[in-house]
Amino acid sequence: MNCHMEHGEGFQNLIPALKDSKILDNDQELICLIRNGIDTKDSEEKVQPMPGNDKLTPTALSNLINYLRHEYDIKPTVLLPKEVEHYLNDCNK
Amino acid sequence: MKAITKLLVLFTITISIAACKDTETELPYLGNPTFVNGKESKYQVPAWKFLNQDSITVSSADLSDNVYVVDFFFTSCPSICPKVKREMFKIYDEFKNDNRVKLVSFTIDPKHDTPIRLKKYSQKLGVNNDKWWFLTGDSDETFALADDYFITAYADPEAPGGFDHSGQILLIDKSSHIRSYSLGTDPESTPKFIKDIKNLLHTEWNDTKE
Repeated sequence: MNCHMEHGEGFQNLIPALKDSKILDNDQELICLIRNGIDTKDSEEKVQPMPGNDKLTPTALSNLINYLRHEYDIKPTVLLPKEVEHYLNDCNK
Repeated sequence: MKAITKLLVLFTITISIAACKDTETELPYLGNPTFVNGKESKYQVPAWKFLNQDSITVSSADLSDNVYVVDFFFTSCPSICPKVKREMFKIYDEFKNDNRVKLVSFTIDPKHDTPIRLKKYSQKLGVNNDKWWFLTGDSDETFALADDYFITAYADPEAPGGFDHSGQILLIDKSSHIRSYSLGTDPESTPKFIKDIKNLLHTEWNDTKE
């Protein structure tokens, strides 16, 4: 809400919109992105980072993703905490 | 007798209207004045000199014919900055074609926010480099300047992104006086702030051009 704005519209070219975002369809990428964020301190191209969330449990992540998909995706698919756990194992930094 | 009463009423009304108008157009001078030999002198932000996103040294003196809007931020800020920047952007958009108004954003993370990085930031934001400066300089000097603008800013390893700072947006007149401020984190305070800018333009240029 704070960064991607109230209606998920993003902000200029600094912060991408969540609305119709392709990454919402990709379980693996989405889970790792929320977990690890994006570090831009050493990036030449990107300036706006995204903070990671290392405290979110699989259930919390599952709730969050299901909410995001319901809110912004065209075809919402439900992701279970068990599946999230499986994906999380594959995205350790 | 009646005529005098009428005149008196008219006179009173005229004065009230004039008084009303006065309070509407004159913005306050923020900050404590100093007194030298019993003479009051209003608070002014000290002069500064920084590097902008085009790697050009610019100073407060370059803005002596402008009113300008100030905030403090850093590009990698994960907390309040995007919100404050969106309000700054609304202000930018409102006065896009009015050369009398400029915007100035000081980075409190000069170690990472080089002119190149600030340029990238302003490009992503899609704004005119001449209208909106993104300034970088000495870290201690920036913190001290933030203090001069009554803004909290300091390094804090515990804070998100490594810095703690407040999100006020300030309005500065031609003579370095602080004339208004808004909370960059509260979108509802922006319309009043924009009104204040228009007000200041009227009084500084002594015209009625909106």
